Amino acid sequence: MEDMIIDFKHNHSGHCESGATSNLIRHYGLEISEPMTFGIGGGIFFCYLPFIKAQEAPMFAFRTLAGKIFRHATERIGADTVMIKKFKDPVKAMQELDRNIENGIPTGVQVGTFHLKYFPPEYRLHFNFHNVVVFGRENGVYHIGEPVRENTQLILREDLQKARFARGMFGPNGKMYYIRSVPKQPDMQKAIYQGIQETIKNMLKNPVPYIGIKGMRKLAKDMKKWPSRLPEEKARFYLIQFVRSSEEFGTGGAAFRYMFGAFLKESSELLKNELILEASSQMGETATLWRDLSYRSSRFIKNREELHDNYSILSEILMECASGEERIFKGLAKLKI
Amino acid sequence: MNEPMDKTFSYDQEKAQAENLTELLFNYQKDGSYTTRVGYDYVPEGEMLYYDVWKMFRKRFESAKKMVQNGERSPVWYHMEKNLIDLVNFAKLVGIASWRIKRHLNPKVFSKLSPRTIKKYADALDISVDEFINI
Repeated sequence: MEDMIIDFKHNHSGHCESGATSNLIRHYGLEISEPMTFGIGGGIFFCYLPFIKAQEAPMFAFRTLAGKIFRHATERIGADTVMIKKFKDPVKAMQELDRNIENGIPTGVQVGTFHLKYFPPEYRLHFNFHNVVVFGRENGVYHIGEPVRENTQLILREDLQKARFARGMFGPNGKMYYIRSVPKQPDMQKAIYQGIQETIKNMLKNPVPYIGIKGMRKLAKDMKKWPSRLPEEKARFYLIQFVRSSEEFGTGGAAFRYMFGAFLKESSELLKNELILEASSQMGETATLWRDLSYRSSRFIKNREELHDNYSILSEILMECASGEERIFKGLAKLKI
Repeated sequence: MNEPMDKTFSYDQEKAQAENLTELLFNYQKDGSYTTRVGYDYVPEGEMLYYDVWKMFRKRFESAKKMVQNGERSPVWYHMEKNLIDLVNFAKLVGIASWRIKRHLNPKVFSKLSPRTIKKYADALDISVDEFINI
């Protein structure tokens, strides 16, 4: 097999999937920012699952299921894409990837972070929802556009193969995706509206009480009860996991809320729409509230602030976030298409 | 295959690991604009929890190690703690039923395990059998 490195422009991103998607789209000549991809793909979400435990704490999710951002964002701008969800044979999966690279197609792959050795050991948890772009190979070493890191990375072939077939919960099974073509002038207005519509549906209209605004209120109520229902150490760990998943796990900050606000801002400039502009500044304020929540929580975790009733105060801030977001999405629902 | 390439690669790997802590962070300014910056201190005064959490986790690893050395639990327990993975997830990762893993936590049961089973554990965690047993 010949060595080949595609001329691929890597951009540092806040989140792995929206970053990989926007980098792939930009490779085909359409200048699209990461927040824009995130918003059009209907990325923002809230989900609190107390009965599913990840690292012994409830699961918190601030974005939609893995794979949805790429599928929706490319569909809505009218790009022609290929997504292969599953390979049975790792060798065949790698051959397919090699063929793509030889043809000059940068390819997104879903990987497990455990086998990505360029990360510090602490980052290498058994987490199977990571996305990277492969854009070149050289002497059995692959060039990786790692969205959440500033520079491109290198990885050995066998490590990449292991990462693509990482075992455990929700294994990636060698999933890969790439773009065939992107229209020169897509209908951005339609795409943005579709993205916003999906977000409203997810956040306001989902009947499951653990999802969307309802989920945020549910979490706020539960948070109040943590200190009385759980041992102190465990309640603290729950809070730690909440803050870390909203700030430290590749979210671009404040549980994606800043990124979504940036999307609204950009769309309002593109479409010259006052309603979206207003929503964008409201989103910015709500995101600042989210950040305040994690700031207070981390101070509390570090015991630098001895408040009388910490969990109730945090729960109240979360309630405020919920009503802030409810107002924003109800306002956005007035958009006329 | 190609040794010099591999050498430079492992060098790069260490360097990459050291540099790979920063992330892209978005922010909102009072005038209504959104900005981005590269860093890892998402709030002022470096309130990042990363180091504290890892201090806590390391304590857990140490206590798990002690339990294994005192003969209270088997190495399987230590590796489960070390990889921050719960039983259900670990069972899926290794490909052994969770009730069997629960039994293997007992040092007495673990000492009777076949080399094949132990290799299964080691392979799932991408380490050698030796590294798995002698912690």
